Amino acid sequence: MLELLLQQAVNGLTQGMAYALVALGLTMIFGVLHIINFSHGELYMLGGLMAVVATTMLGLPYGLALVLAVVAVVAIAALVDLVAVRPVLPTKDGPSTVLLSTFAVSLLLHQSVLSTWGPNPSRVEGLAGSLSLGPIVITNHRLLVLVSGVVILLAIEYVLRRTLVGRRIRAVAQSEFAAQVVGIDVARIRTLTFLGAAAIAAIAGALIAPVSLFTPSMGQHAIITAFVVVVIGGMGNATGAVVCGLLLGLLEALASAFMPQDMGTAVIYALLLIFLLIRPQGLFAGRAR
Amino acid sequence: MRRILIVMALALAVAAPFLLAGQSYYSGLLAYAAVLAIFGLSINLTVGYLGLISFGHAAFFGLGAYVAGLAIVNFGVNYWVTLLFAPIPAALLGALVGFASVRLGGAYFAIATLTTAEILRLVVSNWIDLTRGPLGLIVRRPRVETLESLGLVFHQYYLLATLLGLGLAVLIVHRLLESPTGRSWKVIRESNALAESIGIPTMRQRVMAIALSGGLAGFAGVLFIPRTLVLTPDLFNPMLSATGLLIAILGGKGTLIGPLLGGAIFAALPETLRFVDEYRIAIFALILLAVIRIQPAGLAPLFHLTRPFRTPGAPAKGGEIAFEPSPRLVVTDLTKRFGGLTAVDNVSMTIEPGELVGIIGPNGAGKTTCLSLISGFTPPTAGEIRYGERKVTGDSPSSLVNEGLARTFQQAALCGSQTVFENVLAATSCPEPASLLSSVLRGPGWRAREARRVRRAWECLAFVGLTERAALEAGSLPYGEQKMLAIAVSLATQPRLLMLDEPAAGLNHTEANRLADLLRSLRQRGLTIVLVDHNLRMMMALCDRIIVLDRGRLIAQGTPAEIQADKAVIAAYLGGYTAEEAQNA
Amino acid sequence: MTILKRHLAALAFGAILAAAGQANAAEPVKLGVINPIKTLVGKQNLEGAQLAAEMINQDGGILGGRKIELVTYDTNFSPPEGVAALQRLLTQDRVKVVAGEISSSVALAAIPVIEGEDAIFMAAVPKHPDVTKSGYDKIFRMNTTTAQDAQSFDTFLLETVKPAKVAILAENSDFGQVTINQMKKLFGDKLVYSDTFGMQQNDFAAMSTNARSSGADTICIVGSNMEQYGNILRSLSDLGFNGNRCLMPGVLNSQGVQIAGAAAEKAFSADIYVPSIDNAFNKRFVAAFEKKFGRKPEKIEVLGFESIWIAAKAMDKAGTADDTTKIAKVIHEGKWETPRGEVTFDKNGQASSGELIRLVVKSGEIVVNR
Repeated sequence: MLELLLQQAVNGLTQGMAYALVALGLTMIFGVLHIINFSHGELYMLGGLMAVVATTMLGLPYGLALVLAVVAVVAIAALVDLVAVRPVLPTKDGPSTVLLSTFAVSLLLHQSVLSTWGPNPSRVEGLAGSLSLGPIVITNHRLLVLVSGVVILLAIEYVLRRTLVGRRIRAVAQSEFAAQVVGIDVARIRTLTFLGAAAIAAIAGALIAPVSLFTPSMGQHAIITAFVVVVIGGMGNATGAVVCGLLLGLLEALASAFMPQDMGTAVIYALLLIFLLIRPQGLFAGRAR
Repeated sequence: MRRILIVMALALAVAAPFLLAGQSYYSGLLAYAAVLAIFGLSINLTVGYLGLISFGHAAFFGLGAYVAGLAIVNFGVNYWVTLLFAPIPAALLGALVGFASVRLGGAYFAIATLTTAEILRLVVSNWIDLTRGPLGLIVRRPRVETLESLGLVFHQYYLLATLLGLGLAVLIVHRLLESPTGRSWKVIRESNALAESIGIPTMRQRVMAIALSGGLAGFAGVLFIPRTLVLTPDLFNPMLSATGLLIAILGGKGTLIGPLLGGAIFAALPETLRFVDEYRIAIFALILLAVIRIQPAGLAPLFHLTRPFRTPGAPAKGGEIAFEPSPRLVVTDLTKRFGGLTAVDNVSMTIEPGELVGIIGPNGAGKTTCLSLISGFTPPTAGEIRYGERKVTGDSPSSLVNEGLARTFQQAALCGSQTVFENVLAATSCPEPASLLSSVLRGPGWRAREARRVRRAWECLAFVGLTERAALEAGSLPYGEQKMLAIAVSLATQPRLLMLDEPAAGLNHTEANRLADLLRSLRQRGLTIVLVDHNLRMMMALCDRIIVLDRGRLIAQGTPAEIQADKAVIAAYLGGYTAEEAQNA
Repeated sequence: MTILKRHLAALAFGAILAAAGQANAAEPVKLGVINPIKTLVGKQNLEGAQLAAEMINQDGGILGGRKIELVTYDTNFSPPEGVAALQRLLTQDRVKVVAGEISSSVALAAIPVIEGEDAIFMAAVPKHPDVTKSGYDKIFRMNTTTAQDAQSFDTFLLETVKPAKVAILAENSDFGQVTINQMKKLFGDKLVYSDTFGMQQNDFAAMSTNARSSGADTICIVGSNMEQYGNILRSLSDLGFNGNRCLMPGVLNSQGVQIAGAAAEKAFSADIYVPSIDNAFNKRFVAAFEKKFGRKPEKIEVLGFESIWIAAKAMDKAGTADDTTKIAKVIHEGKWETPRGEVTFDKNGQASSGELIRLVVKSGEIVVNR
C-alpha cells in the first residue's frame, strides 16, 4: 500500500505541476490586471502545438522546441493583448467585457487550430527512458517536468522579489493609482505581465505534451481546473496558486487509490464551493504575494 | 406603434403553428429559438440587470431538464405536468449559488456557476443508478391525444407550448422590471453602497434575482426536452452556458428584446451557415469580438426597440411631505481601528428626537467614519449603537434605512444614466415595498401602492425644487442640483433621522443658502438631522448643538455659542481652522 | 456510303436512346447522410459513404440507371443540431433514407423524427443498445453491439488468454458502462480492479498505477478515443507493466497505434474488419478507397460505406426509391455482400457478420492474430 501511495504521489506531483504552472499565469494576470483571461488555456494548448511542430515537423531537438514554443506563444499573446485586452480594459465595465473578449479569442484560437491542424491528437517525443527508485518508477520526462517547474517557480520568485521590473509589477498589483503616481508606466507593466504569464503557459504546454499527448482541446480542459486552483489559492495570489495546484494533483492521484477518479474530482469541486461559503478570500489570503 | 408591434407579434406567434403546418423543420427551429430565448432571458437577468457574469447557466438548464426527465422516466409523470414543478430545484440551486458567491463580487459568481455546472456534470455521469450516466435518460415524445384528435400534429402544439412559455417568461420579466424589484436591480448594478443607502436589501434582492434566473433557465431546460428526447451529461457542457451568455450579449445586455433577437440568431444562424459548417464557431467568435469592440451594447439598440423610461404624470395637487418623530439615537464608546490607526476613539453621543446636530472637526478627525459606523456601512471595532429601544450595532445599512436611519454621501451617489425621477422612484420602495409575486400579478392593492410610490417621488422632487428636471438624465444635472437630488432620494425612503455628509461642499453661496433653508424646513416638519460639514458659518447659524471631533476623539459638545467660546476647541482646533473657514466662506 | 448512312442512323438512334436514358437518370435518388463531420471519426465515416455512392454510380446507378446523390449535414455531436439536420433532410430535401452518424445521443434523438416521417435510418456507428430497441422497424445499425462483441470475444478471453486476475479501465460512456457490467459477470472474483475515466481526461498515470498494483496479469482497456487508449498503453509501458493488454473489440485503429508507439506492441483486440480481408469485394473497396483518399480504410469507413451501399442496393432490389416499407422489408430479408463479408439483419435491424477477427499489434502494424 505504501508503495502504491508513493507512486501515486509521484504521479500526482507531475500532474499538479501542470495545474500549478497554468494557474500561476492566470492568477498573475488577475493580480495585476484584475481580469480573468479566458484565453489562457488556449495559449497553453498552443505551447503544446509548437512542441509538436518543432519536434515532428521541423525535426528540432526538444530543448529548442521549448524555446520556439515560448517565442511563438508570446507573439500570439501580444496580438491577443492588442486586440482583446488593451483596448477593452479601459471601457465601461472593462474587466467583465475582457472576460468575454478573451472568451471569443479562445474560441477563435481553438477553431483555427482545429481547421488548420485538425482534430487529431499527436504524440511528442520528450526525454526518453525512466528512473526506478526501488518499486517507484518515474519517467525521465516527468522528472524534467518537475525540475523545470521548480526552476520556473524560483525564477519568477526571484524576478518578483529582486528585480526592478518585479517590484514594479508588485506595485501595480497593490495599487494602480499609487503606481501611476510614482511614475510607473502601468499599461506597460500590464502588457509585460500578460506576456510573462503567456510564456509560462507556453512552457507548461510544451512540457506536458510529451506526457499526455497534444490535443487541440487540451486548453479547454486545463482552464477549468486552473480556475479552481486560482480560486482556492486566493485570486491573484501566486504562492497560493502554486501550492494549491500541486496539492490538487496530489489529492486527485491519492484519492484515485480509494474511489473512482471522476467522483474524486467531483468531491474536490464540491469542497471548493463549500470553501467559497466559509472562506471566500481563499486559502492564502492576507499574505503578501 | 409599439403596441401595434406587440399585438402583431402575438398574433403571429399564435398563428405560427398553423402557418407552419407541414413544415416540421421550420417549426422545430422556431421552437428551438424560443427555448434559447428563454435561456438568454434568464442569463440576461444576472448579466444584464445585475452585472454578474455567469459561465455555468447550463447547470440550471440541465438540472431543470434532468428533474423533469427523472420524474417522467421513474415515476411516469406526464411531461406537461413537469413544466410546473421541474424548474423549482433549479431556482433553489440558483439561490444557493447566489448566496455563496454574490457577496464576493462578479468574478466569483462566474466561477461558482462554472464549478456548479461541472460538479453536476460529474455527478450525473457517475450516479448511474439514478441517471443512467452517459447512457442518458430517454424520454418518449409527449404526445397529447386530445390535441391530435383535433387535427394538430406534434410539432405544431410543441411550438405553441414553447411560444406560450416564452410569452410568459417575457411577461414576468417585463412586469418585474417596471416594479420596485426591477428598479432595485438597476441601482444595485450601479452601486451596491447606493442601493443599501436607499434601503434596498442588496444581498436578498440579488439572491432572489439569481434564483429567478435559475428557475427560468430550468424552465427552458424542461421545454427543451421534446427537442432532444435524450438527456445526457452533455447538457451541463460549458459550451451551452457560453451559448446562453452570447445570446444575452449579442442581443443586448439588459434589454428585454435582446435575448429574443439573440435566441433567434443562434437557432437560425447555424442552420443558414450550414454551407460554411466548418468555420461556424470561428465565425461566431469573430461576430462576438466585433460586437464587443464596435457595438458593446448589443443588437437591440440598433433596432430602436428599447424604450426610454416614461415619466408618469405628476399629481394635480402637490402633497406635503411630513416625517414621523425619530426615537433617540444613543452611541456608546464607539471605536474603529484600521490596522494601527484609530479613526474613531471611544466616542459617545446622543441625538435627541427633533434635534439638528452638527459634527465638525479638522480633516481626518473621523467625522465621515463616524457616520459610516452609525449607518452600518463600516462595522465598529468596539462600542454600541442604540436606536430607540433596539441595539442596531452590526445591522446592515438597508435594514437601518428601513428603521428610518438614512444617510447621504460626500460625493452625490446617483444612477447617472437614469432620469431624475427614476432615481427618486427607486427609493420609494423602502416605505412602500412590494413582493416579487405581487409585482408579477399586479392586483388592485399593488396598483394602489404603486400610485403612492409615484406620488411620494413627485413630492420629494417638488420639495427640493427639481420638479422641472424630472425627465432629465441625472448625470446631466449641474453639481449643485445633483446634491439636491441626492437629498430628495434620501427623503423618498421616508427617514426619521437623516445624516448628511458634507452637503454644502462644492456649493456656491446661493446654493448653500438654499440648502440651509431646506434643512430648516425639514427640521420644522419633524425630521431629526445630523449634519457633517466644513462650512462653519452655516453650521453655527443652523445647528441646535455642535459636536467637535479631533483625531477620533470627541473633545467638546454644546450650543454654537458654547463651542465658539470653548478653550479646548480653540486651542486644539480653531487656530488651524481659520484658513479653511475663510476658504469655505 | 450506305454503310456510313446506316452507321449514322444507328448513331442517331443511339443518341436518342441515350438521351431518353439520360432523362431518366437525370433524376437522381437523394440519400441523406448525417455525421459530426468536424471530428476525425465523423469525417472517416462520411468518406466511406461518399465512396459507396461513387462506386454505385460508376456501376451504372440503381433502378435502371438513376444515379444516387448524397445530401450531407453536420450534427456536431449535439442532439438538437442532429434533429434540425434530420428535419431538414426529411422535409426540405425530401430524402427517404438517412445514413451515417457516430453519436448514440444523436441517433436516439433522431429516431422519433425518423418515425414521424416514416423514413429509414441506416445508423452506421452508434453503439448504444437502445438504438435498435425503439420498436420502429425501419431502423438499422451497421456496427455491432457490445453484447455481440462479447459473445465472440469472451470465449477467446476465457479459453485462450486465460487470465488469473483482470483489471479494467473504462471510459465513462454507454460503451464503457455496458462493458464493465459484462466483464463483472464474465470474470466475477477474477476482476480485481475497475475504474472509469472521463472523456476529457489526459493523464492516466494514477489509474495505470492502481491497475498495475492490483496484481492483474491482464488489463482490459475500454476506450473509444484513440488518444485516451494510446495514452493508457504508454502509461502502462512507462510503469513497466508487462502483462497482457487487451483493447475491447472495435476500437483499435492505426492512428491509435501510432500514438502509443512502441507501447502498443503486442496489445490485442478484435474487430469486424481489417483491410487485409481476402475477398474480391474488399480488394476492390480498398483499392478504390486508397486511390480516392490516399490511405487504407478501416472499420469506421466500412460502416459508413455499408450504410449507403446496402440502402442503395435494397432500393434497387425493391424497385422503388420511395416506398420505405418495401425497402425496409428487402433489407430485413436480404443477405448483403460488403467488404467485411456477408451481412444480415435481425428483426430489430441489428447487423451481424459472424465471428470477429482477432487482431494484435506487431512492429507497429495491426495484423490478424492467428
